[in-house]
Amino acid sequence: MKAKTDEFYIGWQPEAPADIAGKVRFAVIVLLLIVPLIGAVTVMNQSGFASSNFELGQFTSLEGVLVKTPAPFLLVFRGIDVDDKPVFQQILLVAPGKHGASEMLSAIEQQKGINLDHKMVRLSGSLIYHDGKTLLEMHHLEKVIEDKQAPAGLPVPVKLGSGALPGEITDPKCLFGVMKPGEGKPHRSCAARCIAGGIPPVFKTVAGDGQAQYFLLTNAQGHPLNQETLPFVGDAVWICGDICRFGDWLVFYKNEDKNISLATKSDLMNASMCVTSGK
Amino acid sequence: MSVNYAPVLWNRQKRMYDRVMLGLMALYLLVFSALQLTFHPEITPETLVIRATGTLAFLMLHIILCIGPLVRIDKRLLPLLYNRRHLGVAMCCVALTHGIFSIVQFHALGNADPLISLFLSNSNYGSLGRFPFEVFGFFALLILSLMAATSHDFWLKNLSPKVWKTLHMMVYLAYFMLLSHVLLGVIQLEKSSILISLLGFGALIVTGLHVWSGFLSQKQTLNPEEKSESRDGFYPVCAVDEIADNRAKTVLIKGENIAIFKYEGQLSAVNNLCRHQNGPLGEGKIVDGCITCPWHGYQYLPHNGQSPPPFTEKLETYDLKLIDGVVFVNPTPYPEGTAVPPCRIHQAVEKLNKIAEDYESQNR
Ligand code: HEM
Ligand code: FES
Repeated sequence: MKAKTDEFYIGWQPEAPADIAGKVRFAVIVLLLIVPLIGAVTVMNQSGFASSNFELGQFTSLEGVLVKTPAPFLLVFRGIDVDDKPVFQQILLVAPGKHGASEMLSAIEQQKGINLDHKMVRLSGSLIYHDGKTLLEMHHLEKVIEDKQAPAGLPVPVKLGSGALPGEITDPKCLFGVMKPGEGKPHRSCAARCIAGGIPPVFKTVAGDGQAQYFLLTNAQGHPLNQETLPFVGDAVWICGDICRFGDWLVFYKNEDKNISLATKSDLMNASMCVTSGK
Repeated sequence: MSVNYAPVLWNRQKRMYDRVMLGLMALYLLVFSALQLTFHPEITPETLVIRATGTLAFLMLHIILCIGPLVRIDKRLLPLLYNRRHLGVAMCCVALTHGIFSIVQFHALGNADPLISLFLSNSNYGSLGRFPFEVFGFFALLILSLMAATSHDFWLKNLSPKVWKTLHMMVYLAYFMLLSHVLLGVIQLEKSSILISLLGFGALIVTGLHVWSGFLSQKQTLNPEEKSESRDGFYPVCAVDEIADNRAKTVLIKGENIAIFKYEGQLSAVNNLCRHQNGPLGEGKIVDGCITCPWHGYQYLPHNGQSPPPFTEKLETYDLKLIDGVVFVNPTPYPEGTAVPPCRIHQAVEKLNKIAEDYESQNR
């Protein structure tokens, strides 16, 4: 495939010889076709992104009861259900950046000289929501509502069962809206940074029908399990423990005697099969 | 060829090259973003930037790596090589955008320094599937940035072409690291067999073209048996008729890469490696009495290997002999720029041979 003529290209001359210019024109046309094609094939073969939301730069004020365990939540009273029971929306609190809300709340407590646990407060921040779960990236505490009593009937943990579940340890802030993808391998080191920064880990399981369940992950005493989960963030793992309902959240109290262990991808598909016992 | 270092010596071909390059880059980003926003409107702006720039930089790296072997295979594609340096710098800028966005997105605003976080957030260095793939991206980006930063001829001069070339050979290491970066990273989440095939196809094209062109250039370089009789240090190369006018034959003897040029009824031998970026002078041509490099057009006088004034580049030269129509070369080089009298091709001998041939064929 050598040039038939004795043409020779010299870059600093203004014109390229005809045969050479023709060949280069052909190469450019090939590139004009291939370059957008590769872009298109790449985009069309991604698995897509979650429809999660993060209201970046938009602030919402919310009034509710602040609880600090098992993780910082704002319990917002949403009315009475058909059984005359109060309904609370439980909003998980996180801080700006890759930080949990606990540190921020402690700083406020120290500054104001009060304990905020179970106090009525008004918070301002940006909402993060997806798949029925809501988080608030706290911007600031607007006020402590001293003259209002916390409503009665606040949710308490109710044990549902115990067993082992396969799933992925994620950081809820990214998972529920701040990042896409907010889980899996590409996001692993970010999730580890978030969980190291105090954002409570959330265990995500997916049942055979594709339905996801989210568990706040704590130790047996109900304290967040940040340090212990770090090496496993973003992996498929088995966790053993007790499952409780806590209002509209599920909490997974990890069994102290059983270590977190790696699972296979096919284990993940059968999450619903593995709860071993009832109450 | 530059005597004093202007940042870039612009000319029409370079401008055309850059226009086409920037146009293609814009086209890619446009198509990628438009399709992404149409079919995946949930995407965040940061992820759009990270994915668009990551894939574009990787695509550009593939193209850069293919140009070298492609011009070996078809010399008419040499213009693609002329301004490849700008392609490299542009690729590096796109890759830097991807890298910086990724570091900020995934590692900033946390409880550790982002660069420390990059290495320590995921410490599964002992596992393949769980390996921190970002680290591969980081070191690849370091190599690409170093190459881009030293791409100017100023550095080429100061680092010496050999060191510079070695540094630029590390692009293959960077390519390998980036393949790992993608395979151990996003492919662990996006398991599409089409995306994996696309990656494999890219790697196949890059390696295939290198193997093919390596095979071709080995065939083109004469490699005479070093044991073949040396007459007073001279080795036979080829018949003088095998060299076209104003062109050269390349020969590798005793580790010396030599280009033997035929011009104006005479022969001269110089070192085959251009002093600019080690371009193959033997694939060049004599233009206006000067050996002209096929890559960027540096020029040398054939009889002394010197660039014509005011330029100062110099090549080693070699002694030649012509015995019975066979070219012999002495592979011991003269110092760069030493004048060696060209070896005259004896017109009379050639004519006599021709008459003898004609005579034989008539009487057959
Ligand atoms: C400091 C350096 C780098 C870091 C921290 C980094 C980080 C990342 C991350 C986190 C992803 C996954 C993002 C996602 O989920 O979409 C990714 C993907 C990717 N990276 Fe890099 N990267 C770096 C350098 C590079 C370089 C130099 C290149 C190529 C020239 C590159 C090419 C790619 C490609 C092609 C992908 C897959 C497409 C994508 O997901 O964006 N990366 N990188
Ligand atoms: S290598 Fe650039 S001109 Fe020869």
